[in-house]
Amino acid sequence: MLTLETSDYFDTIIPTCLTILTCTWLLMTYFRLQRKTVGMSMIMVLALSDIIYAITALAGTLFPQFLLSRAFLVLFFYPTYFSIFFASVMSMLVYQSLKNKDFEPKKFFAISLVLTFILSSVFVWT
Amino acid sequence: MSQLLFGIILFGPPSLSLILTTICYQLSANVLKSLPHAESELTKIYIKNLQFYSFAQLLTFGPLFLYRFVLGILEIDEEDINSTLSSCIEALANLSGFINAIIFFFQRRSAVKSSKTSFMTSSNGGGGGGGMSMDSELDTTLMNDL
Repeated sequence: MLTLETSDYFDTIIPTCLTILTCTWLLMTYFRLQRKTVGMSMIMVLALSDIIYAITALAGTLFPQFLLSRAFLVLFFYPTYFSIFFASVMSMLVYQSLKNKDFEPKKFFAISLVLTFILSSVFVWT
Repeated sequence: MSQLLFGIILFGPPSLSLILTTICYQLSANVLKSLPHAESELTKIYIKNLQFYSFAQLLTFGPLFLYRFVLGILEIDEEDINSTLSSCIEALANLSGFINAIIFFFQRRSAVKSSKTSFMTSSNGGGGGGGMSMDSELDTTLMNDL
């Protein structure tokens, strides 16, 4: 029988549920938009990463045996590193698009997404 | 040597990302100042909010990295640490998506408000932008590519 402490509600269950609900709303809003801009796509990628992180954290609290699995480590740390790296990618995109008239945001987005995936993988597997 | 590697893995990404984001934010702010006001009001809102997302991610996940780094370097067991502190750090990281959604919500609101204002001033106050849905207003008024 799983016993939850009061602190579990405050540090994991309530925050993760809030994140899952609001990120779902964010994703639904994104898919409803007629024109999907690069900026919006970046926000969507971040929301996806946050939702994976929140679901993993919630699953780790509700199913303690999941904490011991390798899947938990990967699903927990991958979005953490990814979010951190992607934050700077976003600010770089903003700066480049302001500075460069011939800047191609879609190309930058695709390349940076792949690079962030690779970089996060390197850190997670190390 | 292993402690150095541990430090690089845990402390490298957030600190590098924070430095890069801060530099880009400052540079973008300088470029934004030189943009003409009339055509860049929505762009400014949009770009500022994109920067907020970056900082929100760093501020929510950064403390988690720092906390784990300090625990690892000082070889402290998580059980011995003040549970309120670790709870706050975990809660902050878990709330990152929620914070992003709040920024998104306010971005939409301010963008719609701003686009309505610009529409009203461009059409001499008549109409008030009626007939356009919130999404299509946002779609048509946000930056072309970004």
